[in-house]
Amino acid sequence: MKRSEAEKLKVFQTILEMKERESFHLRFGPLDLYLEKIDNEIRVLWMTSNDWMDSSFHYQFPFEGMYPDTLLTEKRFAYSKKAPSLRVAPCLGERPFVVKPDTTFMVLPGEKAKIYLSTPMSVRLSDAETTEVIDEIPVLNRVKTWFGETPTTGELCFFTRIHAALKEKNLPFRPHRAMTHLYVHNSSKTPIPIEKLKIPVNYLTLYQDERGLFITSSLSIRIDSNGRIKDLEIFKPTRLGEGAAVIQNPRDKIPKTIFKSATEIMR
Amino acid sequence: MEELTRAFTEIQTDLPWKDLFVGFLFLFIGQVVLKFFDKIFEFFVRHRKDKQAALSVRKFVIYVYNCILLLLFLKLIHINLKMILGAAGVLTLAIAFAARTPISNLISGFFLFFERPFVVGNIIEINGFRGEVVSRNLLSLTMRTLDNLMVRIPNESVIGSSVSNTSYFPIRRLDVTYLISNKESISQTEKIFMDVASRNSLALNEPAPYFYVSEFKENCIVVVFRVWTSSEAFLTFKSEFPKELHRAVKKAGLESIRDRVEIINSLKIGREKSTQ
Repeated sequence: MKRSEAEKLKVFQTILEMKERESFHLRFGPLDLYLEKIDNEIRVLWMTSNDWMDSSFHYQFPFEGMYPDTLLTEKRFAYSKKAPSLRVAPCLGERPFVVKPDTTFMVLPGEKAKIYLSTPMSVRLSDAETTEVIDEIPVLNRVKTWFGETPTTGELCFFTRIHAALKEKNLPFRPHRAMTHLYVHNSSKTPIPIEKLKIPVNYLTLYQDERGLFITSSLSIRIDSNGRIKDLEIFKPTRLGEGAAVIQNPRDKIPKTIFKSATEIMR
Repeated sequence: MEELTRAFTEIQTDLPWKDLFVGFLFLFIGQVVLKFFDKIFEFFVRHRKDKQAALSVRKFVIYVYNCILLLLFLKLIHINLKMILGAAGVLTLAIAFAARTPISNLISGFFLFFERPFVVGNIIEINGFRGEVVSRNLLSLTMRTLDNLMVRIPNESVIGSSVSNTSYFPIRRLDVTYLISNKESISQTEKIFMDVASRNSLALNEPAPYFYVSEFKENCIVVVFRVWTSSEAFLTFKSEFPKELHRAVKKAGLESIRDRVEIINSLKIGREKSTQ
């Protein structure tokens, strides 16, 4: 899928009204997801290829093909009455993502850098009426990592390799990844190398802009001469466009101070 | 004792039924009020990660509240508290001796409450028992061992013992010791081990896995592979990861020390047969 075709992703804003015995298929990056409604139950089947660079997108409803033999995981959700209509939409992870750009960035003293990053999302199945979450399926099998100076101070996060870019057009488009704008203002007297970054996705809102792209809230940090974070802001990204929609609100309430030191967000 | 007998005789003869009714009503209302505030309390602590501290305070408040309620009830039904307490005075010394251990446990529990070396749900090892903390009470700690036994350990004993808490930090390290034949390449073994760690979804990539040679023996090399995982997944990881390493070693065609021992044994048997 190309960036210019992102309009197709707006299908996530619709409600999935499945009739009895009807099926649905979604190919979202490396994830293959099948849903089926049988009597009072919803059957969810999925598999992931773990190819983090896969940029396919395919949405078929009703699905009339055969399930592949290699499907690995299956879950069934039972209802006492008729199974509800579903909303199938992407969502951000439940813990922060540590992203490692292919090449290290250096933010020079006194400079401001705007970095475009992307993090893999999950697919959330929810009851369209009550908005109750039924299940969340990560598009990739996520690897955990420790982000901290010592094994006693830090946080358990998910890890992903990424392309980071200083211009949006240079960031390879992957439909299953949400883009985050990170503003780094280096007010210290030494250059700041960015080898790894922690994106606190659990505090971010997920938007779909008017082009259909998934974008999270933006992050802005200012680092002082002692390496401390002087200001950290989480704000709605600029230029979302009029047709933008909120897909997911933040999972966790933002604490008064998320990070004190620059080492808590970048290394 | 005479005083006590007289007090109880007075109670029997002059029992004011109306006051008794009021007294029980008072007790009933007292319990309803207690339940009401207890529900409010539960509502406020329902999202706290460590409810145990709040629950210990709750227990203490309930004990004190019930004691006051009981004293007021006795007063309402015109029982002469002075006489009862005076008569009970002779028992105070005996009670004090009997309560020595509970009081010691209570004070130890008080110190543990502030020190917080573990919380409910943690896996700890203490006095030879290893298991999950089920509850921390005013007098004791209750834990469920991994083979599903309930163990009660007095707080006094907890404070005087070494406790190791395996769930205190979010990540833990697993050290796998492996013996490879001294004919094999150490760097190839290291590469295989690193590959297995990078493929395993429970192995953390940071802190990075670490491979080193621990010892060169006569017929083998002892290598140690250190890998980090999350504390919650540690038991699964501990049971699965060494198997994965061994499978990878086999798949790569490397000779582990077990194979070598088998080869030596079969050679010996072969020689013995040929000499016969």
